[in-house]
Amino acid sequence: MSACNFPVPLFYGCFINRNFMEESKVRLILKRSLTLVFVLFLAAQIVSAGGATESGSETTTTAASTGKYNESPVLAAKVQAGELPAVEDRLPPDPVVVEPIESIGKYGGTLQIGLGGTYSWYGDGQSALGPETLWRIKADYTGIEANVIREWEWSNEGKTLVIHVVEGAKWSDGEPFNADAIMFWYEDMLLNEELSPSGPATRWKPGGEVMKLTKLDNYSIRYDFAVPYPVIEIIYAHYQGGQYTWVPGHYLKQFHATYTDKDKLTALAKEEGFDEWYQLYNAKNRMASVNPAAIDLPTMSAYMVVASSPESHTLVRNPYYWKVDPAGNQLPYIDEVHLGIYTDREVMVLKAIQGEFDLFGQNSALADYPVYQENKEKGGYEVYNWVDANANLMAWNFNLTIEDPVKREVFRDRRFRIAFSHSLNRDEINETQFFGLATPMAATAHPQSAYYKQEYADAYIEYDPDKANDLLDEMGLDKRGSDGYRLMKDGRTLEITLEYPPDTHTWAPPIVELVVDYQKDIGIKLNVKADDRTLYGQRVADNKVEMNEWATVAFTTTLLTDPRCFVPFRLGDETIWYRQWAVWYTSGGEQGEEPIPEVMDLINWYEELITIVDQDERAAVLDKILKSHAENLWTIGTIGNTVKPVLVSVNLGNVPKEGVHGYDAIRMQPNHPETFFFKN
Amino acid sequence: MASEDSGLRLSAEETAVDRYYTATQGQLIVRAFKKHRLAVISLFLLLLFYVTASFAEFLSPYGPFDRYSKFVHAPPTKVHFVHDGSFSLRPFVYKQVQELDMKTLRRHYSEDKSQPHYVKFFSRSIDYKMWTLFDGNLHLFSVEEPGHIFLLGADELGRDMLSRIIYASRISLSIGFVGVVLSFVLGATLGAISGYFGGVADTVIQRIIELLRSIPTIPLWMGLAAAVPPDWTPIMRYFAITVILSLVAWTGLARVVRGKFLELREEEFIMAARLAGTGTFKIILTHMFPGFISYLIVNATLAVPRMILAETSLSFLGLGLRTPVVSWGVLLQKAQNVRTMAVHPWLLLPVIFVIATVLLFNFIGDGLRDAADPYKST
Repeated sequence: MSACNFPVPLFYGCFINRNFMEESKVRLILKRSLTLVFVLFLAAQIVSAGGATESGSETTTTAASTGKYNESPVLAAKVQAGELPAVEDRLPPDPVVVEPIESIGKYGGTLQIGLGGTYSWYGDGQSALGPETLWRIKADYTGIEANVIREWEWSNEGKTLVIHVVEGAKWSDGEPFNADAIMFWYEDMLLNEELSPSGPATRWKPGGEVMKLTKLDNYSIRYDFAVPYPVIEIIYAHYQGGQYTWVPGHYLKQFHATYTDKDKLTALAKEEGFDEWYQLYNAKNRMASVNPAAIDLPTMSAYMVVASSPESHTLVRNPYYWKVDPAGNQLPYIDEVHLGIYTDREVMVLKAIQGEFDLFGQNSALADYPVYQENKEKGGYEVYNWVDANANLMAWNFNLTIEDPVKREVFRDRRFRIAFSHSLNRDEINETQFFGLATPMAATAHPQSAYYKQEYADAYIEYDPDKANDLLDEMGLDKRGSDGYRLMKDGRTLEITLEYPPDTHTWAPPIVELVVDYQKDIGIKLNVKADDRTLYGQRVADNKVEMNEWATVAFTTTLLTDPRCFVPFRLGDETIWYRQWAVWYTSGGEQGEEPIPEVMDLINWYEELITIVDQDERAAVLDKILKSHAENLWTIGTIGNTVKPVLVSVNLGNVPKEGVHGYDAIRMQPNHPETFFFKN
Repeated sequence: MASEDSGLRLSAEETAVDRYYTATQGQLIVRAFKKHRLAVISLFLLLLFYVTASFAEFLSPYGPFDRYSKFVHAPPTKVHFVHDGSFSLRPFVYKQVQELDMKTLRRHYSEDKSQPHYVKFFSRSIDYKMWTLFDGNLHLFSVEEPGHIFLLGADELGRDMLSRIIYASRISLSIGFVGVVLSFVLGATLGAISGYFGGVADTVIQRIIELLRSIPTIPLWMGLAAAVPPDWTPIMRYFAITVILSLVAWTGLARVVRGKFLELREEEFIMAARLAGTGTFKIILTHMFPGFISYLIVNATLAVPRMILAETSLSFLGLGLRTPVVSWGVLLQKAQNVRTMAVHPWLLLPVIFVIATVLLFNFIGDGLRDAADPYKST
């Protein structure tokens, strides 16, 4: 950057050009035509900027430090028309500067994205919008960094946290943003009995006591916890730090019973088809994923929703967005985002290979890779090989708390789970379904995470059906029925029903077929019930599911905040090996069943883990949990660490070629989607 | 016949006319049917399909679940006759060698032309249990080790598509017949009761029919199919699906049968039979059924492909049969994605068999309709 001593308009042209010299071979083909465009662009800038260069200084000062900012022509027109204040007045006095990874972009364009459902903005919706979170995951995934929270200090051995939010920024409706956003959420939502009928969630009650928030000044809040609670940083850097835990109180007050007459609100609620005021409130504060989806809800994100229909959502740039690039251009570069809704995945794939989406990642599948590659010239996109954030694409869970006492005894026998693990031919699965690109591994931390250990990943993963058969015989399952399947001690066939919603994981059905075959080899009869997710969820809640499979969440961030595959700390239909134990834990021991001692250890370690300030000590306790998993195979992994194809339009700049894609890394949020731009 | 014995020289024309007048109804139907060339060919082909399905173990080179993981998504194997410039009457294949293009992740298969692997007919290779009763290993054809023959390509786990389609036809072709027989019995019985007796029985049956017909078929199938317990064996599940399909399908037939009964019971010959003291059951069987049996046959023939399509669509939607059962619908369910069309289209081949079967049945039905009422045409 320092090589460029040009005034602003020339500066970013130079940056683009220099960067293109370093482009990959594929881009070289495009280079010639693009360079031509940029040369013309540069020439135009020099001519038109004739007068401006005089006022430009000879120093390397950027606009960011001189207080001069650029804005999208769309907004400039509005300023001209007197509809908006000047860009300098919209930005904070000291805006956050985001360094684009490739080049300074240019304004304009509409980003086309496909969604799998009306409000499932998960995935590519997030990739495009980069939802703002209090802290954010660093672009290299090594840790977290400041975002809405700019500075913070820990004291009192991790029991007190003081945070300072960004100063002088404004909501998308132009109202000032300050610490009240968090305070309103805390006082009027979290502690409001009508809005939180079951009380604050466990994560806001470290040590069993609801955390205490005190507003120190307009931009600072003190958090007091009963026990050290350093993990809140990571919680706030993940989904929970999105616009769930800080809200535009100035706007929401008109729908809140504390601030507006309740009778008036109830009448308004009835008018809009609700019964109670809090239902109306929730609808007005409705967020899809962590992006605001209710129209008119002010946001701090780069885009705001202006239209929604069952077919699509339209978003336009937030004129008050509080981040700029090093050249002083207010972000984002792209003016509009169009989210089309497609309920059929194959339709999305077709649209993607025709180049109708500028970004396609959430619904891409490795199995489709040849199709993506063969159509990339025609579709005008590049296929980037990102790393799939799922630590394990398929982890098999036997419900250790199933009602049937005989099956429960079988499932709880460690030898049974080890035998199951040895029966899986992971290499065949890898070769036939993942082109050999995945890693056969047990359920443990993601290989790219800080807590990964090879020995845990290798636990009992060899393909050895003989050993599996021996283990099952040793367990007393040596009697076989006339059909060749093993008999349990009460004479029934060892028959297990695997239930899973096949729509959730595109890769699952052929692997399930293989696993049914592998089980046949060791005398276990596996029935498969492929259900609709809702029906499946209901059966999980009723504790009727004997066995399921799900991808494992175990990245650096999620292992600490959401170790759902490893510790029975939450209810969910994804991991079922601990179902009744999780019911016990989440109900405070009132319902469900008390966990067995080994599982109680997991819970204790988890509770200890989230209170440890020291990184090494924290890793040591987490290691105990992962070690217990490697020894006991509470959940049985298959394969992980695979390639996630991400399709990116060749016209789209600043999208990294490498990255981690998935829930754990909030898709592309760490990669600053507000800096994505259209090259032409 | 008798005319020739008498020694009188009659013209050929007269003989034919004579034969026509002396032939039984059955003979006339056969004769009329034979005139319908397309129907005859269809019948022949369809019989071939059914024979193939019956002898699946012998006719398919591999088992439906035999995996060859080195041949995932292998294209249809080419059969050769010329090796190194010399012609061989015995067909042979070359070994397919998989090469994974790491850039596009596409599996390319090339032929290793150094060694021909001859196709062996009536050879002994993979073991099977014929009709789950007798052990056997005789196959119509197989290929010398280490060659493989996948005439219709291989699927995502390296299984032979031809063998799977043959095994699948067993389910897909029989579900139509079993289903039709069930709905036929239901429809004819209930329709007859409704039409002959009338009154309360008629009202009840007709309201049930209306109720069943008012429910959209797909949701009804879905509901019933979802109610099938998951631990049922594939065979029980298969039977359950058949019953579900026929429970929905009988209503149309019952209506027509009822209409025919209403029409026929007012006829004078029925009145005569009744006055002569003939029992109800006998009247229905001997006097009424022959009156519209032709219609029933045609209806049944046309109902079979509808059943096959119903099974296929149910399984295609993931509601009908499921793996490990292989039916055409199950095979197609796996092929419903963009990559199949683009990269390995041979996985869509079961569609051709579904279309062929449905067309063959329709042609036969067409021929039967013309033939069924032999007196009408002349």
